[in-house]
Amino acid sequence: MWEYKKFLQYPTNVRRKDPDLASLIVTQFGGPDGELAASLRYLSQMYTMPIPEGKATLNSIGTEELAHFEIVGTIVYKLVEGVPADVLEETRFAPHYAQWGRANFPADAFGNPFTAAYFASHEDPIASITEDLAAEQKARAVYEYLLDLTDDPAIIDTLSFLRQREVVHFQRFGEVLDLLYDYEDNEGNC
Amino acid sequence: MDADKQYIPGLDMRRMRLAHAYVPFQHYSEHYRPEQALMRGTLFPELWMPYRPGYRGYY
Repeated sequence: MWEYKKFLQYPTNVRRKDPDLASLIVTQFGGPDGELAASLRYLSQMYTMPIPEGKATLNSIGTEELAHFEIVGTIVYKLVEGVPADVLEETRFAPHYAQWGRANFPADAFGNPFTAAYFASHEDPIASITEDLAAEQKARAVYEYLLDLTDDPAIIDTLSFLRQREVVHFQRFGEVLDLLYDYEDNEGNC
Repeated sequence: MDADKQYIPGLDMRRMRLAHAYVPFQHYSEHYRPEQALMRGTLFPELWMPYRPGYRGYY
């Protein structure tokens, strides 16, 4: 089960409206390397993970990624909240407004809807954890692309926090990988 | 701090095999104050690796 806290893991002090930027940052909400894909990837892989440290890491990080999904969703919404339709019409956000209004919808920066095909969940734990290492690197890279696309200090601040978490997660998955090598050596499964 | 980041405790080259990926284990040493850790996104100075876009960086 989960316990929900009614505050964000990291604050978002977004004040400046920027619908164009919203339509780009949304990729970390519902895109291929976004937080939703990360969360569902780890929470799906957890069941067949043979070592308790691996299960715990997937559960903890999968849970934290949901908190990041919430942070990114908050940023995207704050960037368009209250912006009139005739202003949105002139921005990259216009197609989003045409389909969904100002509601958040998990899609990538091109508008492609979220799909579980973005990730894999393999019984082979080495395959899964190696995917997770790649996933953390891809998410870090996307945060850097997004950081290149804004000069808003409030956005930079929150995206930098999320990017740093990817670095930490990579370290933790790397440690799990090493434990899996030990496990497979001892179990003779290698 | 940069010198510390080069140090990789726990990585035993003798047991490394071909066609395996390795990340060295982190060993607990120093940590940030909790409020600083929450703002930076890590408790550990050795994992603090901020993005510096073209050295025009925000930091």
